[in-house]
Amino acid sequence: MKELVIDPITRLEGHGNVSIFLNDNGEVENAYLKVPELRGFEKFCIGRKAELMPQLTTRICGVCPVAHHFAAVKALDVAFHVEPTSAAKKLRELMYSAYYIYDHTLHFYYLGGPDFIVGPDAPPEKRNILGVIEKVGMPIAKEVIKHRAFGQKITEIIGGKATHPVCGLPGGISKPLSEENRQQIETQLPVLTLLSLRSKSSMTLCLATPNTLS
Amino acid sequence: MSKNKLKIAFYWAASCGGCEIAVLDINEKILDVVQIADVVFWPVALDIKYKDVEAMADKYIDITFFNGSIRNSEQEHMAKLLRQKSKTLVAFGSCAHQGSVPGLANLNDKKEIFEQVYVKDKSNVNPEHAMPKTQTQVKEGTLRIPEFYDTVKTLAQTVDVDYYLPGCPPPVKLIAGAVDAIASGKLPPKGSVLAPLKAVCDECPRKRENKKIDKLYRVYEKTPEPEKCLLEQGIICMGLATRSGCGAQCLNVDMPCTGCGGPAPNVPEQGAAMISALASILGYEGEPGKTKYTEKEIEELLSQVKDTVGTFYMYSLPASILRRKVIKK
Repeated sequence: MKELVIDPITRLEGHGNVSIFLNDNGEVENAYLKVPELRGFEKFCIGRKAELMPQLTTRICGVCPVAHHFAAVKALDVAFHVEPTSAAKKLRELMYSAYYIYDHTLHFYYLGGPDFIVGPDAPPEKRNILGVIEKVGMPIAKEVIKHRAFGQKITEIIGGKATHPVCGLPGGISKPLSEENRQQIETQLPVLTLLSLRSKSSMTLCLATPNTLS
Repeated sequence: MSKNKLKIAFYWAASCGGCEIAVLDINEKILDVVQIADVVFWPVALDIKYKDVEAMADKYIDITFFNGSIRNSEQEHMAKLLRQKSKTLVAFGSCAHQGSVPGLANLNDKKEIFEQVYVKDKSNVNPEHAMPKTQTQVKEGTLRIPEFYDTVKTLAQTVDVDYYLPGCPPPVKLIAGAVDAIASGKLPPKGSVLAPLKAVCDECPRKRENKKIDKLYRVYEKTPEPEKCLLEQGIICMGLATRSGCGAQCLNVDMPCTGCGGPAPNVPEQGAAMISALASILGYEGEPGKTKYTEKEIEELLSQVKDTVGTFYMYSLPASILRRKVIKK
């Protein structure tokens, strides 16, 4: 039986490889996904201080640390029997929304997007962000970089660090938003309108590319 | 692929992907990077496979930025392979540099970790106690996964390393600085940590008054006063013992440094340095002249520190003199 190996799988966060077994007729008999990765958070988080969890669990994934951060923070709210204040809820929501902007931009243009924008039939060396830039052009590429950075900037303002934020505490967050920082976020807001326009044009591009819907 | 361009590679071992995001966080500068360099391997972004790396001539890659600690045999293999294929190898980020958060697993061994993950965790249904094996026979053939080691190692404990970029993840400023140094060929001597020769305290805007403290507070127990050193308010902050370059980012949101930058310059052992610093200021504030303490008083003061290893060695256990908990045979 012939074995085709895809090792490693690429353009996602995490490690994996795929074995595809072909029978004598060259048809797929079976396929296996293997995950050659374990770090053991399930074990080494036991015995650590509860309030450290929002910072430890972000390291599960540095592409989506904000999701892990707030999942742990919400667990702390429950463990400490505290209801976050209204301001804390809003700031957490603002940071999470910023994370959406950054993460969706990352996923669409850098990770999954190349399969649609340059297409699954493009040569492997073109199926990446550089191929996307080549196809959509530098002005759009710069917009993409700008919007991703905007999401990261808000997380940095509220969370301390954009990757692996540290602000989460049971019942709230560590610091209020200063007027200066509020204005800093607000002045960059108009670019969001552009984001939605650009996303639309990317979708058009994506739909116009053969094979993406088949 | 241009002949004059640098060939660079990025790889992740036992890591979270945050280092890859930190690379993207240099934003427009990434467009400069692709002007001067061809990226020849980067699993998070490019569809280049292990077999393509195997096929490269030795020293084909000019610089490899390697993040993640060494947790299993595949990661060890990739560290050795990329060392062989690269002229310069940079331990990128806290995991490759010091072992970092995944290194806390050195408080356990493989058996304890597997038991927890595959049997004890509530989400499991595993009455047969099935555990991962390096080889599994299926009707179509043999499936292989890497061997999971008892001990997490740093990159330098595995292969020869040329430079270190500290941080979890490395601060954008340090990455940009490294890129500029590479582009201009002005790299410091081999073995250098590519970060300022300062501690986090040197970048922290809070003021120190060399005060003694008699009570430690956990971060949720106290709203810190603005502008005053957190440690002197009784909140354990690793800034004294930690390498700077981050601009004291965590302190900017009133949270203490937890030590991701690794040891400060001239600090051989980050955790020990911090414990020593804490010991020198922990005392009874009402009795400033007091130098002698009874065993009971010392015990009382120290019992306020919860989870000593997790507090002082959150990012550096594999690289520390402790390295790991003794495995009971």
